[in-house]
Amino acid sequence: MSSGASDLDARSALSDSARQTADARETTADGRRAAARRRWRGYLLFAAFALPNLALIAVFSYWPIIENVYLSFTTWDFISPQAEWAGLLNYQSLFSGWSFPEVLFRTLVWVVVVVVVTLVLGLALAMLFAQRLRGANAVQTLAFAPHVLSGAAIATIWLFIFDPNTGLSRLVFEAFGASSPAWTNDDSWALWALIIVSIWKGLGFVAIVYLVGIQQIPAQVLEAARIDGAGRWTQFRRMIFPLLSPTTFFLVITQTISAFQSFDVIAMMTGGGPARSTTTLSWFIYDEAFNRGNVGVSSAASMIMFVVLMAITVLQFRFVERRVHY
Amino acid sequence: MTVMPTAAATEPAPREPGSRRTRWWGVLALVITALVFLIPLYLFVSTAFKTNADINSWPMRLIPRSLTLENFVNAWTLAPFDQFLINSVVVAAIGTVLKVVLAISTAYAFAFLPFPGKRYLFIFMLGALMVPGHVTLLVNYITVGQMNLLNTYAGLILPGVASAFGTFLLHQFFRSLPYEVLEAAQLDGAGHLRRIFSVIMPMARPAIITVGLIALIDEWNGFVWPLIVTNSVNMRTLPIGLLYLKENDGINDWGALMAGTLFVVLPVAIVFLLAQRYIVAGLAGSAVRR
Amino acid sequence: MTGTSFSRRRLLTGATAAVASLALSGCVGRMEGDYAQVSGQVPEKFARRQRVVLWSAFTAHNAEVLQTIIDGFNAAQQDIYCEIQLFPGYPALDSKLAASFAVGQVPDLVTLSDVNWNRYFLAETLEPLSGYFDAGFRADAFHPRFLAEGTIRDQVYWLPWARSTPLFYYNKEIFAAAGLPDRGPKTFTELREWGRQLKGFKYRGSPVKMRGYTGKDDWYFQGSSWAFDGSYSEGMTSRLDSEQTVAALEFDRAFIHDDQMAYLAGDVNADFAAGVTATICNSTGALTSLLKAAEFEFGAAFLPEQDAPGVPTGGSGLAIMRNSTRTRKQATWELVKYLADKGAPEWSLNTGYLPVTTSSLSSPKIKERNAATPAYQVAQDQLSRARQADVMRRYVNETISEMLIVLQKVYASNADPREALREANRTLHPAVQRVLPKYQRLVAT
Repeated sequence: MSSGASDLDARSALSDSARQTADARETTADGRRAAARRRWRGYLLFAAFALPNLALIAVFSYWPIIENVYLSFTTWDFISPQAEWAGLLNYQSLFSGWSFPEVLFRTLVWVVVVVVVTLVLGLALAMLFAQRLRGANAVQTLAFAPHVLSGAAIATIWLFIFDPNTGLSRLVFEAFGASSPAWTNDDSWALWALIIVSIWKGLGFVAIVYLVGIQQIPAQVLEAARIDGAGRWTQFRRMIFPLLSPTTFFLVITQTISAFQSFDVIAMMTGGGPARSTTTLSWFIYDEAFNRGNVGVSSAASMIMFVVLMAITVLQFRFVERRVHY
Repeated sequence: MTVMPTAAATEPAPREPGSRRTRWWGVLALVITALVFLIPLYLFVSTAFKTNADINSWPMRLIPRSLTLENFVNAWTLAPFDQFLINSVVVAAIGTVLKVVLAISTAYAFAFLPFPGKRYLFIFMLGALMVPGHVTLLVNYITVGQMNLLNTYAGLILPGVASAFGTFLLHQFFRSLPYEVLEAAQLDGAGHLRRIFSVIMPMARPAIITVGLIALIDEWNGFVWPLIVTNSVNMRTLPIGLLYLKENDGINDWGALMAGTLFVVLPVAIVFLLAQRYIVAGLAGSAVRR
Repeated sequence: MTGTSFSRRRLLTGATAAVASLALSGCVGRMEGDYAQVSGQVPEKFARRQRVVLWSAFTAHNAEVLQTIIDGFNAAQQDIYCEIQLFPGYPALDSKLAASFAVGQVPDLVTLSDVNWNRYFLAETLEPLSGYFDAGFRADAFHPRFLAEGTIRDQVYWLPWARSTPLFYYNKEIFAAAGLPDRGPKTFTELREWGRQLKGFKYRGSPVKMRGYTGKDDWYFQGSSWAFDGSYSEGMTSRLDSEQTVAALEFDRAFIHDDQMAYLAGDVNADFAAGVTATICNSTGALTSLLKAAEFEFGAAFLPEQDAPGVPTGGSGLAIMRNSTRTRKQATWELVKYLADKGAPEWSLNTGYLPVTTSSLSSPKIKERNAATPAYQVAQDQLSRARQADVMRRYVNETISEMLIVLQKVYASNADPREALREANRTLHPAVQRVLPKYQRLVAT
């Protein structure tokens, strides 16, 4: 990050340097004034070009965090005239019972299972695609498509599949002589239903990112390994997987961040239920504020999400800074 | 074995002609993968055209006895999908254009214009990447409400057009453009806008298209913000229109729901098929995060 | 010297404090006085009229009925344009309404459910309406029993509109084929016995359950808690973990998990219409939709009793928002007049909600309809044994969401009813304490 910013000024000297050749001829006071005017014009232009965006960022990305810190120390239900100062009450109440720690634990399960399974299956798929079998391209496109489609739409499709009376689930379970669980209506199955949908939606993307990574491995490297007599599995374990580690790292971070915030699938399929069994942190934040009117509690939970994701992102930037040179 | 020439660099993973077994397993795995994605999609699309009798009959009718458009009519009467579609198109189009314009102009400013303390502003901008969107919902709702923009297109669009990632991506790209071209343009007396339009934009086309497509898909699929910031059904976009259709207190009607889902999915699916190369490369290749 | 530095320091602290408090408090909280009207769309031809925004929680068929009535209102006069903004259900409307107070924008007329309006009343955001009645439009235009439910300390805040009670619906084909009598069960015990008789019965190739429970509404449990002589609360004193309330929930649990003859349905209406379950309890307001969807004949009966009748009134009424201008409120009142007079009969006739105005109680069309489809008459007759939801359920906002969690836990995963209710009681305690002072100041007699 800082390496990107540090040579910024050197670069923007581009326009300045061109200008200076012109300025050099005018050493008079008039000329200096003109140069100063020109510089100010440059500043103004910068402001005109960049400030709208920066202002929007300030208002819609930074201000919410500041205000959110304040709200997390108050109690407010939206309707009453004022948010009332409550000190640490919201944080205390979050951790006074088991229900919020359960939410955190569930979020952890959700994130870990979704990310790990998606990555493992995605890598396997990428290896498959890399074989360049006939039709592989079409399958790649097919697998990637859910990633760009609306989560709400995907969720609706899967609701139908999970329907225990008319859905595919009944067909599958009856084939094994069992009857289909109620999936989204059964608190021991609901979270797994959401996990399946989430994996299905993200798998193709992960596979393609891995495929790009695999294709960047020089063939010579693999050839050399083969000459050494390495078997398939050894070759994968010793060569391919380590060479893909930057990709893996990138995917772990991005998938984790998006799994933490995934919302539309939950909203569409379960609304956090039954019996809170699919209430992850992101649903909790929404539900507490907009459905239950506990603005303070929601803000406190938001702060927890902020800190966790901030830590993950910092980790990512550290990594990018170390590995990538612009 | 001789070392393959450069072409082999793109020839990726191992491919021994001898090992038939791999091929056989590979083909099978590929077929299974295809089915995993095809079956849900087939059920979805076919159900949208099935009659209610076929949908509710058991054993399941994988091949419909007759096709009908009734579900589309039902979905349309249960929820104003025409209005949802208009809203989605307006929000996605304006949102995308603004986002791309802001990203280009900001990236240009950071790359080529002077400003005191510019690097800190750049860090300030990048810092926004660390703010998870979900955390900003509540306060942004209040802010937009105080701007009197609840339940309006402006309110739907505004918080999403700020672009940190797009700016970053374009900034990297702009800085990799050859000096000479820009300098020549400057000495020709081209103003900043002309430099952007006739020099920078043509050269940065792939990057700009990537930023635009990512923005377009994000705007189109946006869910939680439209859910919060709209009140009336008439302002809903397609994804939350679908939620509305599902929450309808009538009888849960899979045919209508799948038809409604098709409304939501079809435009993006078409864009995806047309611009597949850009989208896949853009999403998979470019990437700190979105 | 010291003086200046002192004052400068004071000035600085003062300024910092001012900035801080501005930053901290300046942007949250509700303003007093007149709020803006929520934004929306007005067709060109009505642009010059006074706009009135009606927030409605009715969807699908019922939404169309309401739109027709409002179209009638807009055509009947020249000065006011009513715009309906739709929400998918009462909870969705409730959360949007609360959130719109946060930013100082309100609609004019709202269909607030019987358990949602009270918290707006406690926040003093509902317009007292008694003063609006006059000789031409008197309070007795409304059904007195329902009007009383919206009256607090002799002041009307909430007018009857889409009022209902739950009914017991049963699939006549299944009942006949399984040898069950063509009537609703008298008691819950009888329902459970019938359930045992139905065991193994198949309807259209699939096994049938006796009752589908919903996990999205605790209204029916409010009723069955009374039937077992329990309740949610007496006044503001919780009775959630009383023996009787626990017994009511234990009945449901045993019916679902021991007998396996009831279950938690995703969509009770859909399952009933598809013949997955033989009976459901649902609002009288769902009657018309069910009649449209079901391909078999079904009956409607009183809710089962046990130790006592257990019929809660429900549905929604109309409330005018206090924080708006006089002009808006006057215009809204004109709309209310129209709804009470011309709108109400049409509404009851086409939706199945109970007639709540004198105009609809005396409507010949409704009488005709009730004669043709007796289920509608059953709904009206049951009213004599119905009562208003318990105070805690109406005034403590969190009660319903906590109870839904309890019901889902017990219905879906066989949680211990006593434990679940106890835990809910514990969780709700702070909320009750929070609401209590306001309740005592504004409501308690």
